[in-house]
Amino acid sequence: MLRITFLADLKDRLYGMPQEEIEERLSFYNEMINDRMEEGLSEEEAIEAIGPVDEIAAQILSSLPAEPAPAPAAEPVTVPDYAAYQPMPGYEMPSYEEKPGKSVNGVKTALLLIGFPIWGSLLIAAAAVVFSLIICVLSLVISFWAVAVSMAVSVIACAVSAVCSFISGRALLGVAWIGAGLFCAGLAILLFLCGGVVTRGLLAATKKLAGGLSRLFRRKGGRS
Amino acid sequence: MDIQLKRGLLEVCVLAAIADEDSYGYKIIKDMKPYIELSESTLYTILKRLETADMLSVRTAEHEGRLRKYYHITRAGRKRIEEFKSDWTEMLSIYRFVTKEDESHVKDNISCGP
Repeated sequence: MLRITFLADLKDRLYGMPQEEIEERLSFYNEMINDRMEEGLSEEEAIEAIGPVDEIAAQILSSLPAEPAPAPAAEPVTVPDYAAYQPMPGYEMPSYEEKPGKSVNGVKTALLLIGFPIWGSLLIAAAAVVFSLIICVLSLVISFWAVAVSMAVSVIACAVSAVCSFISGRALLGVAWIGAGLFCAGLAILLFLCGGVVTRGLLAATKKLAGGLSRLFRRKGGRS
Repeated sequence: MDIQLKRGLLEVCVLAAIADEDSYGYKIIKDMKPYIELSESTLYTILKRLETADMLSVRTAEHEGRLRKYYHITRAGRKRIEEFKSDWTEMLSIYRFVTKEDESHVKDNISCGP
């Protein structure tokens, strides 16, 4: 069996998996073939050493997370550019384009349109939850900094009050203001020092959440 | 062998195969062959899982006019190997208990005694 036939057969059998993942796997097997050929095996021998396509496809599909196994394509649905699968020097994975106008896509579109009132409202609700979460995190960050700034401003206010107290002859009150000012200054320094860490932590958590959600949607989109 | 256990062992094997120097898919399979047979699809799945767990990193380099992926073990990957080594003592002890190896040793000692 030739490399182009092997890779095309494997691609057909992995139909239903995300395109990116299929291409990554094909690239992996292509590299394996190249490495075997570099050791002196012929193209056919290298492919034979890797094993039968059916077995490989079955192994790949069984290693996927529990999801309905995609049905093998009854007829080839794509026409990849196999010219790119030249022996070693021309190593380049071709980008496969889905044939437009598949009947499956039509049914999917119709189902999506009919189900819009359900999934649309759910999508809006989910987006609102995510948005409110982000707002909550941002408000936490803002309120933290607001406290820090207010402490810094309090230091100035305490200093002014202390000066006024001393001028008006109330030395004891002045000392109390200085004490309050020092306390506020200490707190402000502490908050400013922690501010960076807290902000970075909260923003990283938000980013992670957004990343996780987008991955979730991408995977679902890819497998649908 | 239990699938989870085997999966864990294979992951450590792959990490061990790239522990001394960066390696590529076919070389990993070749290096492991004297000890354990590993199919390409299994290796791919393990590599992906280790990459997701930040136990290895991947770089692409040119080799003989083509591109080849090299896998590099990370600090977390080395830590995993060390964990495996320390777990192994405990596993051996469990194995001895299960096979009653200790018991038979005791019996042998008694029978060989004066």
